[in-house]
Amino acid sequence: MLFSVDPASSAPLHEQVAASVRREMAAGRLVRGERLPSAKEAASLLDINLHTVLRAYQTLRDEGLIDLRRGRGAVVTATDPTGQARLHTLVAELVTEARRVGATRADLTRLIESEF
Amino acid sequence: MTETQPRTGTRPLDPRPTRALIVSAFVGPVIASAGVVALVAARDDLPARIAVHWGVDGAPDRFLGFTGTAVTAGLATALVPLALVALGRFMHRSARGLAAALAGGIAVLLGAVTFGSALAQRGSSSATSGFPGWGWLIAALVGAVLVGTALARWGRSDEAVRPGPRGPLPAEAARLEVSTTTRLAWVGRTALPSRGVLIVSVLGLLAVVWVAMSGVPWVLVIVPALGVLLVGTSAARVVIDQSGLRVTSLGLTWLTVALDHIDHASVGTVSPMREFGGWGSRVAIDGRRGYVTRAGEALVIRRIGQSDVVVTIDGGDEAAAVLNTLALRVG
Repeated sequence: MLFSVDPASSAPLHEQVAASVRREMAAGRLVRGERLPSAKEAASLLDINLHTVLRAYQTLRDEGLIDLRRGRGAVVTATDPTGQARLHTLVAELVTEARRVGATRADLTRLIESEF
Repeated sequence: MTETQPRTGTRPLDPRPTRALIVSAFVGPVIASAGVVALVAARDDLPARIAVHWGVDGAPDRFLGFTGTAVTAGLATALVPLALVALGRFMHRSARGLAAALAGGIAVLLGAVTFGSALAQRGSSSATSGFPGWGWLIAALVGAVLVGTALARWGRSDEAVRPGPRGPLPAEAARLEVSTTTRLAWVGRTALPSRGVLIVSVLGLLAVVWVAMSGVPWVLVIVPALGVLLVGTSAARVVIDQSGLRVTSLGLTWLTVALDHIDHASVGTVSPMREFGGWGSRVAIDGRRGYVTRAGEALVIRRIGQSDVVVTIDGGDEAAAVLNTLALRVG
């Protein structure tokens, strides 16, 4: 799997790490049951803080994409990691775009509700 | 498969691998000569029928006279390593150090075991008891490791220094469209087919059980160790980051390629048996280094002025793009 983070980007590093994992899931390269590199290893490879990776993994856990267990590390648990990761990625991009054009949270929420 | 001939570098060819191979050619004949001299000196003390082979139960099951023992031990000790040296002569220059190490180590092992087990029978009228040369066997193993390691170290190509300048990345070489401040890390896995691991496990277990049932039950204690070794080496981790490529398993690093040694990376196909003579961490006759676990898609790294490196992985195109992108940054 490919991790990609840009310290010069305005996006927080932990979000970039989480986005890397989601991108791999969306592309079908990370499937259910597969184990992610340990937070320690990922932090070392990317030369970033361990807590940054842990925060990214916790975000992915809260999204229901992975499970974090002591001794087992981070394991993909989503039943449909491709679809769910793609959805999360699209939402993240949507929020970024809304901010760019100056739309508020209420504007965005209204737009989404009108589409449902 | 991509073409494997490396580009010519600016550094003169390293002569040490060839010199080590030449020296290793003398190890077997020298040990064989010394062994024959030692046997002749001890002739009066040796039994008329010298045991030359022992069964798994430790009892001798094959005997030769003095002349037969000396000739067999001498020829085996001299010729088997020479055959390896001859094979090494046809191998790529960078792989000759390994051939030298094998030839030297095997010469020591064969010489110590064949002549040692015969010399250990001095003073007995007939060899009917168990294997007499355990001391020689241990000395043989230690000596073989020492000689093999020394020749391997001497004959190792100096790969720490880049042999030449990097040219421009080929237009067709994949790369990622990311900013130069983006940090990239690629993590993958290369593993032997589970069916192959199962077959090797079953065959190995059957062999150990057969030996155990033949009167050597203590051999069963090595089963857990063999299991750990097999499981640990049947799969390896492939990591690409800002320092280059690494292939590791069981805490050992099998293969490394520094970024500044990479000309470019691409995807090719590989046949482990045909091109590397087997599976795992290998050196091909043409000098290519490889960690090959299956036939099919592989990451092929063209090094500057050195032989290619091949690693069988899925997603090799992405790994190649990451390597090319990172290699471009180090110049």
